[in-house]
Amino acid sequence: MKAGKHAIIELVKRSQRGDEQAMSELITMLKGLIYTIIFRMVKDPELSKDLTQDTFIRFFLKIQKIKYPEQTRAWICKMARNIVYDYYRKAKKHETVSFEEIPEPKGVSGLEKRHKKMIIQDALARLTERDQMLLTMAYYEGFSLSEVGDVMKIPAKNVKVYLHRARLRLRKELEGHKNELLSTR
Amino acid sequence: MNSCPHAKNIIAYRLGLLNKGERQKFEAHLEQCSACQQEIRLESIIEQELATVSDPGQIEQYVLAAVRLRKCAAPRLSWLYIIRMGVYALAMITCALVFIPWLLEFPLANLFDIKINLNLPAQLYAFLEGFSSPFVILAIGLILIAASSIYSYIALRE
Repeated sequence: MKAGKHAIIELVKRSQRGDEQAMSELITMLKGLIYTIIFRMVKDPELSKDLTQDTFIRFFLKIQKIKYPEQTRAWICKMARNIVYDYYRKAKKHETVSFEEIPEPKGVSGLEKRHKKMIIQDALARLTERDQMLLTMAYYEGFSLSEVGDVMKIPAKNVKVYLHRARLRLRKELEGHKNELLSTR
Repeated sequence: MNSCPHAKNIIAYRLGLLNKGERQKFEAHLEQCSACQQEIRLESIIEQELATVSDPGQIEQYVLAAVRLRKCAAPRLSWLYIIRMGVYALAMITCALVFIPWLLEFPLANLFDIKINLNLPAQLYAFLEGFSSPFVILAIGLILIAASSIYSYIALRE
């Protein structure tokens, strides 16, 4: 589910009053984004799910501290990143993922889509965590440049420049797969 | 990227980083260049994938239950913390008032000629002197600390 900014603001205010229905809706709205950010960092579906849950638990325990609900998405994204960093500080190891574990897209052309997904995810995984997070947030619907800049600690006016560099690096990683990507459409 | 010299502008074009003149020039070129058209298609496939988010499944109920549980546990833990700090403070005060003065007078007092004068009220001094040995005081302090730590550990495990 895509997260509308105004809907999130309303849900955060209700959640701060202890409305569990609002909390549940907020999770439903943001879980895809948070899971994707974490998955692209840890590359392990089960671990990503656990860390996504941890992110939301920590988020709701600290929700009273949110003074500007319009910054909620940026706040929770930073929280997700910090939770991953905390995890690595404790575990002190990176594990790789088997792309066999990526959920298979449904539909007639599921296999082709999965193949294309694998190629792009594989290239994405070779980028730095910073590039991965930047690309994930920037292409998530409704994220403003200032929100992305806030999380990535870069001025909003420079976000597109950083994004451009990250995209060029991604393209470099995808060299040699052009025909596959175009033919599997 | 393809060999077309305009190909380097494709991502900048997609991101809206080209100025008006550059954009118009690139768009005019794009109409004639099939290689760049293919690149644009490729970029849109990549963007589509970047915009796709995965679903972690049903996590709502688990998260809400965990939040409820932690909210209940939080006040207990804060009380536990206060109790524990109280016990530590008691142990430290005991050591400061009784054990350390004794230690300073014997044997360190002999070595460094240290004399201290706590000016304690006579009644308190008499009460403290009632303990037969400073080791008893030390033992009481250690027992309190150990008991507090065990209690904390059990409570945290719960």
